[in-house]
Amino acid sequence: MKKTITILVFLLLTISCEKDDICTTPNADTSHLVIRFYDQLDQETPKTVNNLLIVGVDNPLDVSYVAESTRDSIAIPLRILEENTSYKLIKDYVVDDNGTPDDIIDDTATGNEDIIILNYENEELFISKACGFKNIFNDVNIAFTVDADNWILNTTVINNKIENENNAHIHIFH
Amino acid sequence: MRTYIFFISLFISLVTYAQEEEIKDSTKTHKFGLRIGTDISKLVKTVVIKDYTAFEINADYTFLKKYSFAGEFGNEKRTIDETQVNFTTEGSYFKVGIDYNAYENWLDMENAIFVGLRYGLSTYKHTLNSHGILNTDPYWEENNLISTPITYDNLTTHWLELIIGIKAEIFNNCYLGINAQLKNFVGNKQPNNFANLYIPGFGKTVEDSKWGIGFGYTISYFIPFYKK
Repeated sequence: MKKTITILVFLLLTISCEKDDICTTPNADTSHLVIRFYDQLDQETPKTVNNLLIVGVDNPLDVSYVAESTRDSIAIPLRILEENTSYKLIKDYVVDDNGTPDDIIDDTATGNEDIIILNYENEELFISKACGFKNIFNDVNIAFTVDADNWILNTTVINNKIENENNAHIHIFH
Repeated sequence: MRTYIFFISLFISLVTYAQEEEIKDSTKTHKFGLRIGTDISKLVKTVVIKDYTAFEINADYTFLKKYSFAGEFGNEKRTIDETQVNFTTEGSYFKVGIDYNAYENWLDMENAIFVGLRYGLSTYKHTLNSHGILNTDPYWEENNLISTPITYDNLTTHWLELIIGIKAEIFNNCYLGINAQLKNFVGNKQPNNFANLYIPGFGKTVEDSKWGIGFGYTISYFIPFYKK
């Protein structure tokens, strides 16, 4: 009898030590949209975009997402309280400081700006007490504004459900 | 499955143990009757803790010298506030089972050091008052805390519970008790797109675990029916 009670008390003590309420679940965070750039002429081959600057349209701070760089893929956040997000993708982005590196007022920027518009439906998925919910973007589609000098020539949605960042969701051809 | 075998084997070992005992104390007299009481910790917490309301009635009836039918029923309403979720769970529960008293009483006393087994059933609902959408990229500066309430109702959980405790007579037929409970789900259907993080009568649940624990502090009154 004593033995049984000892075992029970031990079990109770062990179980009462809870896991820390820290979110450690993998892939619990809302995923970014992953876009990969391909060559329009050879659609199997990734092709880098020279000096690409990414700026969210109507971004509250009016800042670019990251500094411009030459790359063949990007991962960008979508708005979770809206069901559309637009980005300016500026290729060959160059800032001319007009000979005065310290004075940013007279700087002029040049580049070829195309705007992509993403439409989707939000779905909240429960993960855990510590992590809360993550947002999943469903039925994602992409459009781009047509101007006289588009560098984006075509787009394809590879995966219209954004729930992880393992593979590209959209291919852009240029 | 192993868990149930553990419970059952423990129970069987208690029964056989009890039978050996019966023979030697058969000459003593025993009072039989109904002991009815309440969990005072729930009452105290109702007064002290904001967002917590609970009430429980518990009873046991000795049908053999060392065995009692025992049960609890009550209701509980509790709000839990975590960083990512704030929810209120409310519902009712009952537990029924048998207690085995391991304490060798003096003549006419009904003190107990007991081990018992219960089947528990709880019906309840959750209201998710607010919830956070995890989005660690702050670029769009959105408020990720959604405060539109969501209700998950008609939820049911069944469990088996092992209870150990003591009940001591403090004055005429009034007993003070303390007990600890170890619980294991038999059936716990999770709501769609949420989880049973708290269950009335069961308590807090631990992620990916079927186990739960509870503690009770009881005050009860013994109504004697007859002596034997």
